[in-house]
Amino acid sequence: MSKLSFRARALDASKPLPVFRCEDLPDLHEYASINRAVPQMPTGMEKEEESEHHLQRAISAQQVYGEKRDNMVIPVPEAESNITYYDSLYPGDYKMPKQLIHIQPFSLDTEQPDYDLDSDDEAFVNKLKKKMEISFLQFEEMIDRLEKGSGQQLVSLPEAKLLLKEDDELIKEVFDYWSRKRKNSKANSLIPNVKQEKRDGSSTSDPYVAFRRRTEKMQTRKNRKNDEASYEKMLKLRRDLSRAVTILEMIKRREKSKRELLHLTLEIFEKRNVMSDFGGEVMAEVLAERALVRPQIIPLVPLTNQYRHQDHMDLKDYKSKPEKMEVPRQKRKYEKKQKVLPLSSGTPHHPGPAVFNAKDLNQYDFPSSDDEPFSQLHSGSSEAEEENDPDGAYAFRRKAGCQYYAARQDRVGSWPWCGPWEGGLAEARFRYSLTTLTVPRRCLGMARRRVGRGGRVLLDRAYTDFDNVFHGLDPEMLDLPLPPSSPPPTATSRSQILLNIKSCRWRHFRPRTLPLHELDNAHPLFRRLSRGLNNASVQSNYTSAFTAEQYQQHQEQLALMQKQQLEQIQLQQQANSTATANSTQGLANTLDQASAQFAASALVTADQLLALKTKEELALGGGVNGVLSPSGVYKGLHLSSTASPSPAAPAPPTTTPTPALLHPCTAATTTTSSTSATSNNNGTAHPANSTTTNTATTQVLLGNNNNNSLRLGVPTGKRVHAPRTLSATMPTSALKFPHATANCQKPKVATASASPLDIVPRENHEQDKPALNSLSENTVAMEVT
Amino acid sequence: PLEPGLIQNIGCRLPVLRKNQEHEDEWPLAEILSVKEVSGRKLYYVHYIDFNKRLDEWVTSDRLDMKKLQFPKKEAKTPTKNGLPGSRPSSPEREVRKSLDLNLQSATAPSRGKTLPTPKRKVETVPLATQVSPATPVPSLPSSAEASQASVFPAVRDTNTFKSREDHDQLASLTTNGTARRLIPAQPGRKRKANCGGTDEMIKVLQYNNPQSASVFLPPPEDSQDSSDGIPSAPRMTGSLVSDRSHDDIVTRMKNIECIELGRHRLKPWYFSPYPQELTTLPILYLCEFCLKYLKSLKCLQRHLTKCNLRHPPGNEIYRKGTISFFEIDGRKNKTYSQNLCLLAKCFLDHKTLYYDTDPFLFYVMTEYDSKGFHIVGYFSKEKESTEDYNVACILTLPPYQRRGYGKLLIEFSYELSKVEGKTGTPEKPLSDLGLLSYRSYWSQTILEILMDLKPDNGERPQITINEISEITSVKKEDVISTLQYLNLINYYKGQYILTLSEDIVEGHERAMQKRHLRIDPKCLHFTPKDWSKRGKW
Repeated sequence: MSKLSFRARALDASKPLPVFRCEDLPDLHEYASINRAVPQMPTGMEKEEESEHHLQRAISAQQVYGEKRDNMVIPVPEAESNITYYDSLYPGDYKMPKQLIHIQPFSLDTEQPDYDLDSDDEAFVNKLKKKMEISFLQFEEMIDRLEKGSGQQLVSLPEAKLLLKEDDELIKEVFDYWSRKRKNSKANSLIPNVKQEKRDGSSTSDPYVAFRRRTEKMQTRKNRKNDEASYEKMLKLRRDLSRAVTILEMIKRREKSKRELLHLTLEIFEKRNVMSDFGGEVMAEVLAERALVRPQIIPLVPLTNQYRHQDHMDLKDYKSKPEKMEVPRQKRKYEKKQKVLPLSSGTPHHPGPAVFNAKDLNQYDFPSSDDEPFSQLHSGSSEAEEENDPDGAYAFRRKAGCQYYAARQDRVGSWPWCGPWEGGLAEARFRYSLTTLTVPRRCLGMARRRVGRGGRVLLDRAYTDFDNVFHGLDPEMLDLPLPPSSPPPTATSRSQILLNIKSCRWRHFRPRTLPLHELDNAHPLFRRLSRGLNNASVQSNYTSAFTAEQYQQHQEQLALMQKQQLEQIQLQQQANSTATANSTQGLANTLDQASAQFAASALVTADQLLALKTKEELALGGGVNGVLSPSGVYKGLHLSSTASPSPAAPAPPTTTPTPALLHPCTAATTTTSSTSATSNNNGTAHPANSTTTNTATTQVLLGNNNNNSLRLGVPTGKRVHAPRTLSATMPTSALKFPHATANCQKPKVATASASPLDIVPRENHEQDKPALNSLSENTVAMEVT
Repeated sequence: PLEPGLIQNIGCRLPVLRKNQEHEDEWPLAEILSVKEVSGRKLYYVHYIDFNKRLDEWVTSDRLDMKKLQFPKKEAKTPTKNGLPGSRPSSPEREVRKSLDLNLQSATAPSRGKTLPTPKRKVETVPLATQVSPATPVPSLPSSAEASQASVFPAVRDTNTFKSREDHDQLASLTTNGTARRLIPAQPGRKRKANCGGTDEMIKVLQYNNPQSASVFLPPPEDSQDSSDGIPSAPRMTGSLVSDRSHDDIVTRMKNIECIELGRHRLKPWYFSPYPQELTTLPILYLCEFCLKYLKSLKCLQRHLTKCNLRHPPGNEIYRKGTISFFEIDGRKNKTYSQNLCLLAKCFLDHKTLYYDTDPFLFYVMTEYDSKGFHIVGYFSKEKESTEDYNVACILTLPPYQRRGYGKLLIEFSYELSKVEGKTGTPEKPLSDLGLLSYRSYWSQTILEILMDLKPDNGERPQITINEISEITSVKKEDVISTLQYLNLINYYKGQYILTLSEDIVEGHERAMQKRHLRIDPKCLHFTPKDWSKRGKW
């Protein structure tokens, strides 16, 4: 065993050692010198501590006296054991069980909150008790949930409402108190917890981090293969269970909605009973009214301006209180599954889009189960995060199964409607031209079309001083044949313009929805439309004539032309005569109805088609005007086409929003000047704010990709060619372009309010999801813990 | 908000007044670890050199003997010291000692056993050698370190002649201080490797010097400590104790909790414990007596007690005799309690590490019953699977119950478990001072009990092998040998090893056994060992 320095004889642990009493061996001391060679065993202590004074003293005391004396004991910091209130703290009625105590598994998992009320809380709760019902335990439970619901970011009030089951008033009080307390606290949580390791390994030397996982090496130490397989199985199991949770969650919501529907139906019934509405007249009346008031989507066929206005107001209301929308939407969603949507009938539209999409279903499919489910659960769910994320609900979210490519820089801007400096062709048909919507029949003023993502047609509007004139134009007048005689000398500039239009000196764009039979040919974008335009022999001076080098020259020409135009206008106004201008390209194109409709309907995105095919193609067959059902399946079709002039005409189900479908209110809020907005809204001529010097390139988005199309539409930082194209296409126009002379100021774009009609349904759409998410997140959180 | 002057004091050493157990004033040398200002008064956190850290405390400046302030940096640089002959710590004697120790270790601790202390010492000798070699500009810093050691135990210095000379001036300054001399304990018989202590001491000094001074004469601490073994900063994943504390933050060298209230007791922690940082500023940290949850105020505790219905540790009771019970808690199944227990235990166990989770441990909590419930008295933890024959990882009797025989009871219980398992076991190293005393005492009594009970066999002298002792007691062989040596029972007599029982030993043992009335009754133990290796993961 151990070596001796003198003798090779080792102490053999298996060799019997005779046991002597010292008194039996009087000559033992003679062998003491040999004893010295007996090896010293290590004490097992740290060397530096082994030499500590008190230990050495204690050891020697033991060796001298055979036992420790009191003053040779290693001193330790004192402890007291006379807590006076101890007896009142702990009850003294515990009986020792006869049997040994055996803990049942999971019996320890009590549902008690971890948070313990402190004296501040006590004061608060006592105060609160005067106003409402709350117990200490209830308060602790609420705080506990709020604390555990908060990750890096605190729970927000809406989330708190989902998290807590108490009534709103109480939640508000407790939430406010909690937020304040949390803010004042330096700690990470009001429930003190031992610091946990950070995943990035930065906490390896933090002395306050404890109980780190030791999974890394240990996990697959044995039976590696088996472990991995079972790990994968566990992942799968977890995924499946998560799905089950989602489904149950949805069922829960559905059943709740059902119950609510029942209650409401009952209520209605009782009310009718009280009103003695046995014949159903009141009901019918109300339904009819509701049909007009409620719809959130643009009405398929807005009958009158008055109704449209109401829609608009209604929508605004929705927007201001989005939370309130949740319940009705759920119900609607449920109803929708029940019956085919009666599109052409007078039944009310179900406002809002569908509640669920595929993403919701997949939300529990964590890529890796172990990766801190909590942080994942709570991410992206609170207010502060939304502040950091200006896109909010519109933020780009990856969709499963989609491949995303980087934007191609080389292709940017090479659109037909772009100027040559952007690599575009500046084709005549895409230039700013006078635009009149078919339904509602209204002249928009100057606008140009372009194709947005997914084939959506966007209308960029330009503000001119003559907007009020344009808006006041009676579209019907435009359709009238040109009066054979010249206008009377007393005619205003309006009739002047009208004349210009009618005599095809101005291009006039009047898109219409394509009839069904035309659809078959509707393959390339604007093919027919462009052919029609070409047939009308619209020739632009500048078509594909520009290169980037000629840009400056072009600018000068433009300025010159505008100047000429101004002079012309003045001349015309003074002379009150019809001016013949340098109409190098003055042929206007009044599109026939068919081609306009075609143009409108030509844009069908692939997934829309798919959706149509798979879902409700039959149901939609009878749809009016190609308006898709407001069902949320068809995201991006909120601004549906209303182009078809006759409601009776069967519209193709695949029709996408047409450029013609600029809803008045849509356009209205998007203009920079609010005065013109209101005027647009009502379709009445209002004196426009003539001091406005900025071009308002108004965007009307038909579709849901506001962000994208906005960026497309207004190449910020570049000089905008809007005025230029305007002048190019309308040389005879009596328009003033103060901004143009100011050398193309960058137009202001009403980005935020781009399209309320579009935004509102989308918002509802998005609001739903967080609601669902947070709700189900809750479930998961509970499941995980 | 510290003045520069104060910061400079950190790392300095100077005599500090403290009362000894006889309530007399003494002025042991202490190192200033930290300075703070409380209501206008400066407080210094001092560690008394060669006293256990548990006595470290905040002291007011009037207890500091500023006149004898030592700046380790400046002393180290003193050129005269460097030139002194024979001031090399690597004296032949030391070398021999070292190698002897190492040989001994490799001999007595076969293969994997006790790997921990061995590499550490190897590591430390290397930088030491490089530092004192004439080629390096590093002066004889070790001298200052050892000097401080020597100042407490000057008697030890007799064996190390080089030290006496080298530290002459410093020694003088210290020995003139009468109290220092009075500290000298008698060193009867027992051989102590005092010189080894110096090495560690030195490295410690270097480590905790303030940065400027450290940078002058020291390679980065990590180099000196870590480069040779190349272990990244995360510690090994087995075991519950650390011995290499070179990575320790200064934070962990200082107590952070002022007072803990547990049941009817108020405990003054001895060491750092990683309770949530926001709780460290509290004057009192409240613990639930039964679930050990930590609470910031009495109000919170009261509220907690309305919800906590535990009246015993949340595990299975595997032993009960009288009022004493043992509960077994699985560190994986009952994490919260295990962690709370570890946090509490860390307050009293210097080398305990809470770096990793509690999954691979079982916790055996000893309780004493009264009408309020089963009160925790102490506990020990145990690895479910130990690769090094450890049957105890950490062991602790809570301070209010100390010196009443509970520690020995815990140890006895741990060996009873090993007996049921049919294994021998040993406590995980390093032992603390109290741990060493307790274990030695237990081992001594256990072995002497066996030896005294041996009956003459057919008129022959009774005899026994070390292995037999080990088997009967489940005490690991090495511990049996070390105990026999410690008791001075092994003698070489007429060509063979014999065990001799002196009168003193026998009397002392009998007296001790009379006092030892708390014993484990194996019949009351209801314990079936589990084969954790078959369970995959603990």
